Amino acid sequence: MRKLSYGRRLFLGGAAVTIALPFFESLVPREARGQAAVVPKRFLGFFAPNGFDMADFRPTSASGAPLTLGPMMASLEPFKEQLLVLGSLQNTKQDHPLGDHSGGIGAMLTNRTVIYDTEKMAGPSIDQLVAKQIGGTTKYASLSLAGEPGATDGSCDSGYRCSVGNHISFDTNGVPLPKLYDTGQIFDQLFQGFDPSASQADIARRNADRKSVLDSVLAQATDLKGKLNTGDAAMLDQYLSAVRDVESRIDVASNASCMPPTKSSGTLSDQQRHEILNQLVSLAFQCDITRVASIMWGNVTSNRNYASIGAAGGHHDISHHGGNVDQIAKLKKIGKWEMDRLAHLLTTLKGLPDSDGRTVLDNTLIFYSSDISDGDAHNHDDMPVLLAGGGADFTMNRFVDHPEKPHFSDLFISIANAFGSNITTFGEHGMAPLPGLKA
Amino acid sequence: MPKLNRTAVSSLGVGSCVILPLLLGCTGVMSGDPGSHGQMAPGGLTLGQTGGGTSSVGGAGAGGATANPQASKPEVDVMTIRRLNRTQYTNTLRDLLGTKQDQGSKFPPDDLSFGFDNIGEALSLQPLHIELFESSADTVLAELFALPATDANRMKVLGCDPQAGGHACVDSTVLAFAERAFRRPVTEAEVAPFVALSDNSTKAGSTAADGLKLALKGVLMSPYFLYKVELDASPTAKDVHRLTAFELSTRLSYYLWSSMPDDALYASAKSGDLLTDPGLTSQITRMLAAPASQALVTEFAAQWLNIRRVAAVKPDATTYPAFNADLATSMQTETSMLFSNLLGQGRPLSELLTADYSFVDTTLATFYGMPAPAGSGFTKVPLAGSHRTGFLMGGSFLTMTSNPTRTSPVKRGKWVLEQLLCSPPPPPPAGANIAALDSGPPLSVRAKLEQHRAKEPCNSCHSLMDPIGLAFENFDGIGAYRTSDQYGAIDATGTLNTANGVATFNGAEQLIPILTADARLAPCAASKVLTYAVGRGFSNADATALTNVLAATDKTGQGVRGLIGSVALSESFRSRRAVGE
Repeated sequence: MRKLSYGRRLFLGGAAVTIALPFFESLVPREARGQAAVVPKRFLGFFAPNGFDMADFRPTSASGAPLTLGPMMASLEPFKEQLLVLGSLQNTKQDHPLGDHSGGIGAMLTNRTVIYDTEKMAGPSIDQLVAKQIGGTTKYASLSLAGEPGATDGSCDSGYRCSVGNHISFDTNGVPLPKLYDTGQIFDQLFQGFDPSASQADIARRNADRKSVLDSVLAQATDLKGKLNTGDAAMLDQYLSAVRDVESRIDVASNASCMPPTKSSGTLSDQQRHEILNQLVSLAFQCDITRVASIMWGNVTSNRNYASIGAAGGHHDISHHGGNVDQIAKLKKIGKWEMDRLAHLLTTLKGLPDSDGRTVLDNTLIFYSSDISDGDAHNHDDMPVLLAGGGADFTMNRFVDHPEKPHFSDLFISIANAFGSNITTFGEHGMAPLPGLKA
Repeated sequence: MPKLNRTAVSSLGVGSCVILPLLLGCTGVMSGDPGSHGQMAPGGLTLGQTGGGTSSVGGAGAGGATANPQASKPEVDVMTIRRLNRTQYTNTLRDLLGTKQDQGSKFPPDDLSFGFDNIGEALSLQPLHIELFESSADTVLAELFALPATDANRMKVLGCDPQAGGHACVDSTVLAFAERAFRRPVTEAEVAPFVALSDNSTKAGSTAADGLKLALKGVLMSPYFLYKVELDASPTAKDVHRLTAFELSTRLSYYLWSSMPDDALYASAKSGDLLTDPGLTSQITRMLAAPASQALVTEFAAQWLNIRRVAAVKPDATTYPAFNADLATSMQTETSMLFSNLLGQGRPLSELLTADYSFVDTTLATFYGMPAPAGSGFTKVPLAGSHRTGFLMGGSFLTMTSNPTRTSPVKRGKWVLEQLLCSPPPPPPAGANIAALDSGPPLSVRAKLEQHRAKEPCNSCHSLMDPIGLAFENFDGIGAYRTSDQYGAIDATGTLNTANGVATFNGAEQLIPILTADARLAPCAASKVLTYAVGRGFSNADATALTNVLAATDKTGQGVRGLIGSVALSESFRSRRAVGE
């Protein structure tokens, strides 16, 4: 048993929580818990809104050469060995000329056209495909987190439904996965049910009770479904699938291997919020509560005011820079800020030991991108894309440009393959793995 | 120069959309044709058709929406089964068990569709929801069982002691609870699986109380509780048919109260009275008079008028140091109380825009430069002399349509077109090189917008939006009144092409009558109410439904209250079908 000592305090907000590090009193080796000694891989999809100033985003090194980071990524310098920046990739968007933001968001992890007036995508996102592959034995198949609260009113973007334009994770049926925003709640979701005083018999009892309740409603729902029209039956299918999924994980929950951290209080600045999300997802990975996560830092056309870093105004408005030097300067600052928070995430993951003696970062792959490339042009080609972490067997520490302009889907096929899924197609354009990921 | 024309997409309609990317959507003149929601009819559109006579709903011009016979969906159309949304879940647990806990707030936000969070198609359900339903049920049932045995809420659910009363007590308790939770009569056979949960649990050694708790949890996890189930003769039956009394009572209570039926409503369903016109009417009247109807303010109006957005916007602290959370809350309360007054007093819809009174507390009064009312709460005050009239000149609208550091007349104009006239301008054409308003030489917002819309492809659509928004330029980005800004004196004049010719105005006060004369105002409001009430999107394509509701509303002479009630009495609300036409 190892004791971890850090001594930093983290602040969560909303209902308000502090995570005190050390997180764990003990980290029991996997073998001792009766599980196989194969360390799990993790996948994280990260969405940053409104694109980036691509001049600053792009590495200055030549394609294929070791990375020389552009100014925006200066703080990622310590992580170059586990960083891969891809150039000239494109993604699908939406079916009308307008709604580029919604189109880019729904497409970001699915590589599918976002369809007007439709509540679903036509297929799953890559994180959910990976979750199907590796998420069967954890408390949660995946976790979807948000840096901005869900749209509480109004429409989302140019008539595109919030279901598709304001989510990045979609299940096999293209139904969005709901996002958790309140950091206190996220904490509770990760650690609820943890009761150190419960005996094995208690836990077995609780699990049996949960299963029997879910069984009783499953039967009722199946019966009900037969009476409903097609559309309603599809909704009941969601209920049935959800109940079955939860039921299949009941026994897993009791194997949670972590002592949850302690709670305290505070309200959150944007920086604190981002860093709390970083820490929560890192915790969730290390504790094997989930192996797949997605984070949407902002909603569609997020207009976050980054006044505290000298970029006052709405982020979305600023991203429509129109060539104005002041606006571009602000946009660069925002991008830099976002990359600094990514550096924090990588630092956090790197600081957590994994059960194979390496770090959680070594066993995690992060896919980081946006809904568009340039905020003025609203283009979906030459997208900002970076991969981080050692979770896939890619050759990192490079910038690789793809003048042939492949779609995200090719990269997603490679990622799926890296996580053990042998798909050969994905999304609307994926026909082959992306070349050049392994030098 | 040829007039460019494009069929823009309706943001409220369903089905396929035709978009011809090279053509533009606006022809420079705004329409009063309520059949053209989102679509720009060939030959130009005009703002407002002044109709004759008065209407209890919208003043001149609103008496009877002109139905567009070419674009009418059936009055009763297919809608998707609705799960309880967060708010409804919290409220239902409150009414079932007496709990004061807000369990719904633990859930991820429900996705909006057509501007509301209670639309069936968007209320998806994922494993996370099931887990949260489980833990919520555990929490509220534990709370219930821990209450003293004499507690009224406890006794309403737990009418007997399962320890002493054994299986018979469990049986009767579960039966009664399920009937309330499922909002309809239930059979022994239906609840048998839940009763079995209790039997099996106690056989395995649990206490009688814990066994019963498990059975009740099953009820709270059932799809009959979590969804508002409505059935047809068969899944493919083609007929339009009236809802059952219980299905109707469920629709009605969630529409007016965002919660389950109370005993009186349920009784009127059980007796069949609710299926009659007088029976339904009397329930509507009773329910609108009840405090629970405040849900129409906090759920319907809050979403229609985007009141919630006020809490989400972040005005820049340097530019607007006066803005803070307290002021935002007061602004929201002002609008809520205005709508509540329109509803409660049966005021005309147009009064939303023309009200010469408002509701202020000290915080808001100080901000508006008005004398502070006595006491710490809100008081109804006359607006005379304050430069303000109605909702559009209150802090809520003005703040939530602004950018962090300045006003956005485009957003203000767009909001009016979208939310009040159901005529959203088409979004900018692809490839339109939109220079940021904040870039370039320092000019007033007005001047910059004039430059922006100086030519096509911008002019035809912006000439509809900008003048409306610019009329409000006397109110800054957080709604404070001003006569000048850093660029000089405020110019709030404008011109709009209307059905009655060119209308000019100087400031928002003069814009208001132009808006209230617009024939689209009443049908638009009706479509919003119908959408919220039925749980599917209504637009001007639902001309029959809108016409009937507005005609019925006019007959009531009760303005907004009449509109709310007329929707509940409409066929759209009282009937359903399994498959579309």
